[in-house]
Amino acid sequence: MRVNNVVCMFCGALCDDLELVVEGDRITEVRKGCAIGKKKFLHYQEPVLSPMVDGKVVDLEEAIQVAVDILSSSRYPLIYGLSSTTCEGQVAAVRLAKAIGANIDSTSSVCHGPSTIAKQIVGVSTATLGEVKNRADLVIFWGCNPAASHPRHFNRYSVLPKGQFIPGGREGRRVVVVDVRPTPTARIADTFLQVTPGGDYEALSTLRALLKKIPPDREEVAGIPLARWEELAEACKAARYGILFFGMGLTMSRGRYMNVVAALSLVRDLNAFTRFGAIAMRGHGNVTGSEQALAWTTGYPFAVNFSRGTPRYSPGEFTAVDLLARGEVDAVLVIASDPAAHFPAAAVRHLEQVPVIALDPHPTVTTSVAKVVIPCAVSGISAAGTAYRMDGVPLRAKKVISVAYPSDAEILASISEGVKQ
Amino acid sequence: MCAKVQATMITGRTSKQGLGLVTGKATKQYRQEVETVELSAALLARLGVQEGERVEISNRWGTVTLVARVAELPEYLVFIPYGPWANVLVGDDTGGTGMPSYKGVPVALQPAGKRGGSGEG
Repeated sequence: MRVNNVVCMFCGALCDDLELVVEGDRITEVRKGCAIGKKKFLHYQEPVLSPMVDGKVVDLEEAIQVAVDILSSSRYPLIYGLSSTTCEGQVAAVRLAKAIGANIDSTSSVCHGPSTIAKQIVGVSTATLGEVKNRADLVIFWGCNPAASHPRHFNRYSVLPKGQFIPGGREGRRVVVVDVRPTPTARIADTFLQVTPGGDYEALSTLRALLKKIPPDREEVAGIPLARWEELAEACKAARYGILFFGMGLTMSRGRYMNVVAALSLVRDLNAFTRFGAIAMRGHGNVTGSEQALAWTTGYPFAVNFSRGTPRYSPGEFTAVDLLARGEVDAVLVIASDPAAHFPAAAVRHLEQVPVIALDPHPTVTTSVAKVVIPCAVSGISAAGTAYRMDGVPLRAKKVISVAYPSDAEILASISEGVKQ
Repeated sequence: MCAKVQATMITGRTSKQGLGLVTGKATKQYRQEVETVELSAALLARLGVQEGERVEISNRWGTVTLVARVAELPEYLVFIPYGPWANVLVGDDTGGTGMPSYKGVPVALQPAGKRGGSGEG
């Protein structure tokens, strides 16, 4: 059987044009996906984990009951992850967090959380990837490397496609890359500006100053001659439709959200001259959805705490790395994420000392340190649901094969039922 | 052995590291990728290390020894793919934002010599 228009939930570009050949409960062929997307569909079709407690295989009900016992007796639990599950799973996680008075945080806090803080400060001139494809004649990639992180972004949305008002495709667009190193993305650029590490805020602020005709009194900014920044500022003003894609070169560097404040302020200022938008290059498939789902249900996008019954928001206080590094939480439920592989060592050390419950279809570093492992269906392959693309457009991820284990949403609902009893 | 060389570390995604996320972190390919440090040929020469040999990288947070791979980078910059080894060198201070400094981290490099092994915290 052939299944068309399948959404790939690997990265935030959420390509929705994949074609799968399915025989029984096996995917035998994937067309149109990138190398990573194809691997995602072909590899691990079955959950290869068994339900486990303390390294011993148990049945699913027992694993869920042990998870219920841990979370019921925890005084300050953390629910973390959420970016590779559906919005249905994310809402179920919020319900559980409310029921047990937990902290709930997503991988957003270690990717574009600072961008979201900046959006709360500045606001954002939004755009969809459809607009970018059809209208953008100036495309800036700042501190991001879609050639490695979002492999089909160029082809589908930002660089190569012919659009309604960009009939020439690549020839109709100028592509600018700003980064501290010549990334694979820089190789496709018309203009590459290699800034010094930590120079982003200064560079973005210089562009804002140039728009306001207040040139800085120096010949070089962030390692680049001022004349090149002047040329870029003029190009931005002259564009018919400009778009700034920005990545973790801004959010993970010194200054963090203030770098993004400068970027979003620049885009806001540019709208006095022309239409300009900004899109965060969201990494995981539904990390955008995690912020949407938390915002509908709690009012806040990440770093939410229910210990007083009502939701409170405080990045730095209720964010996962801080809660772990300070040794505050006494139990952790990880959903669709691998913090043991991606958090700083100090945070991982605490993760190894408290009971961890891991919901994941695949073995990860986190499942190897977890007290309880609960396998689940893979969102977008064996579990359907809603996912948000990096530009905030929701798409329906399909269930294309069946597996023996329930979805994240169903498992979380079972745990919620258990803790209420 | 030469003196330690100061540099700035950034971490990030590579295509192979991304493939490892969907094929399994227990795979040899993933492990090899995240046990790699990219640096310029000039910096490698300053260290007196050949590509494929191990470099010891340390800062106040920890020490790892990683396999050197030449890349087009400024001499003051080293790049380590996201993963458990890079995280040994990432501190837990988030500046009140939740985000640790995964990029722009000061590190010191020296040849690992025959003491080279896998990374350690």
